[in-house]
Amino acid sequence: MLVDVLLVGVAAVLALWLAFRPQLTVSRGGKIGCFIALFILPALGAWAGFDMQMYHAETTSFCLSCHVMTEYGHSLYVDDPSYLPARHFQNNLVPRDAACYTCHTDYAMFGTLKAKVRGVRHLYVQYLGTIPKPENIKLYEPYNNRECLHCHAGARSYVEAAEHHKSPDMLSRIDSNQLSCMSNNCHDIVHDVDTLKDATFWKGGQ
Amino acid sequence: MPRPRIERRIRWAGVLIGAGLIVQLITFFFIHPLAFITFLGIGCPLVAAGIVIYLYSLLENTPSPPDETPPQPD
Repeated sequence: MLVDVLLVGVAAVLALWLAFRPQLTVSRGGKIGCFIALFILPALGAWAGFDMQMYHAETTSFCLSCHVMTEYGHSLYVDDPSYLPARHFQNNLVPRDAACYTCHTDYAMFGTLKAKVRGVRHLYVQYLGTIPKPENIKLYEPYNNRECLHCHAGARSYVEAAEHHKSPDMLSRIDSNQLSCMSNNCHDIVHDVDTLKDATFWKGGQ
Repeated sequence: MPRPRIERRIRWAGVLIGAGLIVQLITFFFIHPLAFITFLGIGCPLVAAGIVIYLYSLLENTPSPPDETPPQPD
């Protein structure tokens, strides 16, 4: 990250320096320097900046910076392991600084791109649209087990859990997304932000 | 004495690129959707415009090939 900042900073200084000394480009060396300062470095700097912004956009603080998401951030600290996101967040089962992105990105070819496009739509709603109440925010489509299995597939705790063998074909139905992990009486307590007012919260990790 | 056109173009390109990169630099210090939009909506277009002006100035100042018309007999 420091390298990106330095690169963009140096590129900016060189570009402005040339802006006030354009006569330096008369010589052969000046022309080469000008090409580096006004083409190579700005292009590299912009790419490095884009990379950094993409990294920022994956952080939990980025997702929670919109007011409407505050309650979802609180739900990560509920002192109740039946809350699925809280259990993952508090036990480091997902990286805490990228908790939202880890579970809410499709692990498919264009998952990241789709997430970014949706993010732009969220920005539009945040600043130019009508912001829904937190409890009215829904997923675009039912949560796909693929996102859970990205980490849990093959894990002993998943494969051998008695709860996953209540019927002979249960595990295969989960694997093929025919039976949702969030089905009733399974892992069905997720963010549930409308119940948070009565919840107690974990004080650690803040 | 007025500056050659290429120098004026390079000056503009430098100003636009410098301004765009400074805007980008500022956005790096904020983890917020508005910083992301400022980066994409202001920083990148300024840098792109500067690069285009610079490349255009190069094209415009490419020396034309020497005239190869054979000398006329006296």
